[in-house]
Amino acid sequence: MPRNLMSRRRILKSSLGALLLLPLLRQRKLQAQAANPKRLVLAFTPDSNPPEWWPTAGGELGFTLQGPLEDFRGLEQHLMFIRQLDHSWTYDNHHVAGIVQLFTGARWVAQGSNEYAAGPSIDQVLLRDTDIRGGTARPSIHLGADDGRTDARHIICYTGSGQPIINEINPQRAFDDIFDGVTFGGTQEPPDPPDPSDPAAEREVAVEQRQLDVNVEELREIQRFLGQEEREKLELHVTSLEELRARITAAPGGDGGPVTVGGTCEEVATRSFSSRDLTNETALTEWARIQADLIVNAFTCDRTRIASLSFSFSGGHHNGLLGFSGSWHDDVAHVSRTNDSVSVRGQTMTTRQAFIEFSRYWGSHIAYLTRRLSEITEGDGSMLDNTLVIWGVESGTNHSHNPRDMQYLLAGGRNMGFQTGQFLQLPSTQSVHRLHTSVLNGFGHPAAGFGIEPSSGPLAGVVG
Amino acid sequence: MRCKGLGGAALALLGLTAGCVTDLGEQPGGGSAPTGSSGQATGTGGNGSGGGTGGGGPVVDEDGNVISRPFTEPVADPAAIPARAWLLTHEQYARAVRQVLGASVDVSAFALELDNGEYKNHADVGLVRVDLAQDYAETAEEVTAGLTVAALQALSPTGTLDAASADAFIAAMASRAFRRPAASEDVQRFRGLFDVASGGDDATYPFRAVLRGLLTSPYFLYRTEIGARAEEANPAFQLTDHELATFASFSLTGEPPNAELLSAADRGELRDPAQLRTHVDALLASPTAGEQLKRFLTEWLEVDAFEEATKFEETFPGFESVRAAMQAEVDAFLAQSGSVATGSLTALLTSPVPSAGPALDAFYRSDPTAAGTEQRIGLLALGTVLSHLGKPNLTSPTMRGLFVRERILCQHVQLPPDFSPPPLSETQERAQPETTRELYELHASEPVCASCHQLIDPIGFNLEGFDGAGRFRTHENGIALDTAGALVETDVDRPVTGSVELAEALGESRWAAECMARQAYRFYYGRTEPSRGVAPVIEARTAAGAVTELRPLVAALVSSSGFQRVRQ
Repeated sequence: MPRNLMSRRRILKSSLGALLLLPLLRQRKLQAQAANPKRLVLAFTPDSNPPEWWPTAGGELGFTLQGPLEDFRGLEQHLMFIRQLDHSWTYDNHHVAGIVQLFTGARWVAQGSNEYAAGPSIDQVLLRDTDIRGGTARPSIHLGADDGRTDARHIICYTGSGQPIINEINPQRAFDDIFDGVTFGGTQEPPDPPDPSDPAAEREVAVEQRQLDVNVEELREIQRFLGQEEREKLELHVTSLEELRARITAAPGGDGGPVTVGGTCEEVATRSFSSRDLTNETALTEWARIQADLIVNAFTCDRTRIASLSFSFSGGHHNGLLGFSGSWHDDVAHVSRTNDSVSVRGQTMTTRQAFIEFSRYWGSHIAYLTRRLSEITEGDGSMLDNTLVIWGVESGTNHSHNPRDMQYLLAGGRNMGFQTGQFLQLPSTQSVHRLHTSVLNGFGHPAAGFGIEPSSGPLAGVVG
Repeated sequence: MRCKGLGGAALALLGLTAGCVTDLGEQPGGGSAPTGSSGQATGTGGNGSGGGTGGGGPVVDEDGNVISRPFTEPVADPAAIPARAWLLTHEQYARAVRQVLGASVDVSAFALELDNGEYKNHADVGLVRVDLAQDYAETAEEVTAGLTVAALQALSPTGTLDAASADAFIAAMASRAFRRPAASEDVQRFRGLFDVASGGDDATYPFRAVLRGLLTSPYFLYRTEIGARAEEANPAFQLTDHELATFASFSLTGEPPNAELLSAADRGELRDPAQLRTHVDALLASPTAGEQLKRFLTEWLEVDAFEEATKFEETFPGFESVRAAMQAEVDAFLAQSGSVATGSLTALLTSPVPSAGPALDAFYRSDPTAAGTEQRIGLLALGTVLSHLGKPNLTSPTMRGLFVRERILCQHVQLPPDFSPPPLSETQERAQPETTRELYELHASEPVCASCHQLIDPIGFNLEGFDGAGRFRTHENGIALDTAGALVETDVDRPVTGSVELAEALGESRWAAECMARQAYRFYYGRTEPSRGVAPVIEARTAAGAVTELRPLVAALVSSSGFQRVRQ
């Protein structure tokens, strides 16, 4: 089914479409002038990292990056490491438990039969409770490089309990959705002037609106007969119809039209990319960068202010990646404390060295995104200053199937008060819910806790 | 569908605490509640869905060894089924559109469907996000725009397309789309849409607009199970005749109810259990019921995950060239042992696997150590199952053992609630086992590992006569294979050697028979049973008889009326 949005195209050329557009356009321009936008990116890479992922002491900022984070060099002032941060529950080998609570702080709906998180992720809470969206065309975008499966091992963001958000792994589809109607090249095509002589187009708009009204009314009717859980499921449907209504009435370029808030709103080349091969380093790297570029340019075009970027899935083995023929999970990560020899990219090395290479590979994708954001001027600083990137993994250090010493890296967000440029050594073990709370607080959300610890309080030293 | 549970060889270096048991969720909604708190790693309880098949705690001998637990009948569970709105799968949606309009739609590029790890049609994963809402809207627009005037006229009860025929058109088409007689509120709503669309030059446009609205209506997109409108205030309710028709038809055939079934619903016949059963039997006679049964069995066996199985060519040369033949093998096996007419659990577990041609036969015997006299008996000898439950270069006795526990016996291997993996030593040496069995036996060498793996791996050892790609073998790395294992904590506990003995033992298991009914409940009801004692499961198991015949099992399951529905 081609996403041709025939009716939408007609609306955009109609007088009513243009009339609907104008107040929104004015509103968005005013917002852009008033304040720097706040943005959030949640990122996930699979497995975990060797101890060398943590910086050593020393250096200008009090810490020095090691091999796995080599690609972040020069960005140290934008980074925040936090040691002794634990997930608050675990089950089995922590693979699913780890990714479920990574950004939700929740448990799963039901172990064994529905292991989706039983609560929303922090990005969706911000969307629900704050004005972070700012009138942008898409509430959030969720991109990934993965195999297309949709079980709990592949999901990092949730709208609510049992409401996972599937990552878009196809860059072309992602592009078509994010930039639908956007004109690139610096010149924004103005909407067609109102055409009062086209009553058919006006009638089409009225029909679409009425159709949405009817369907929402029906959903409300059905909700009366349901319990809470089922009502929430249909509420998501209602929200989707209202979002669809907004899309139908939006202008090319979204309601923001030509407003750009940093850098250049430019097209990302996605059409030539078709090889979605998780075992081919070259293809996967290109895939990762296109997805990261899509996020960056969605920000520069102010199409959204919330994104997630997810690679592979929790518990994956990644056989064949980086030219290693075995299982990275079994044959490298879990035996990386030995001096076994393995072949990676045609070179013989110890399993420890291999694990560092593997860790660096995934980290390089997050570093690429972070660096790109840092290179875009926005206000007196960079786009990274207005964007917080939180990168997390599924397991404790050393891929230990353990919920302890989770590696969360914060990057950017200086203008929200995030105290980057430090290695926060907590005096005692703290739950990740405190970090979640601090992030919410940094974005202006008054949360006193998050997930299964609604009163956890924030983590001292994260937001200043 | 995915394999859950304990990780692979690396667990030899990890360790699991003592006290691992199969889940005993005997109570409705049982399972221990999650109790985790900050900085304290804790397990979470199940939802009572798991395999409590035995009743009581594990039976141990004086040395603390787990011994056989005989089958006990489940405690009848009066748990009610909540009212729900069950979203059509994409496939069901396409079939429903065809029934309403007689036109085909392409859903291949629709938003991906969720997978909660059980069955793909589960009601709790049917969510409509904006991308899917847009897919529905665009499809409705395109398919209705493509209808010829003659086709539209054929849909009109009066044969005409004018304002005077609008209400009749709306009532007829809403009844067809909603799979129930249109109510006056429905007609009123869509008449409003018709009127908004009226006034232009194209007289067909308002009729197309009505059809668009019907195809995006939640009454079309969902299988509503909410009872009669007049019963809104009642906490407990019954499905209406038309809801029963929709449930039975979609569940048994994957298609919307046909005219005959809807007529029976119009006559109020389906609330009569005997008449409902008659119609269920009629549905089971249709070819689409066979397709639906195959869909269930395929998901139950996780055959749909086979396409994700990857094997190293240097370890299993020729695997990719026989992948299609393996799929053909499972198709033929299910046609033989899993058909509506003659299928049974006994046949699925113990019937010989039919040959899928010389190429696959040759592949199965391509390991130099294959003896040439081995047999492939039952579903546990299918190439798809064996290769899916393995590593790219090895077998996985743990994955295979867990498959039997979870899918065949409906048992969760449950970690103790206070389980927390111990920290790893930085100096731990890596073991260098000679065989896969030796590697996995390391699990049993440490007490913290043994408590779980003693329940799992011995079952997998029975299947070591098949390598990671399902080929026969008698040796690994020059060492003769030992396929001896054991079933423990089942109703057929015994020492078992090899795959044939394992299949025969499971064929005798009453727990396996009950599990078949529970798995069928999960698929045909689109939800996980709150406990093993719910009425449809008990009725289905009883009806299935000694060999667990599939047809009476499914018929009894879908015809069951021994439970309530509630608004909670």
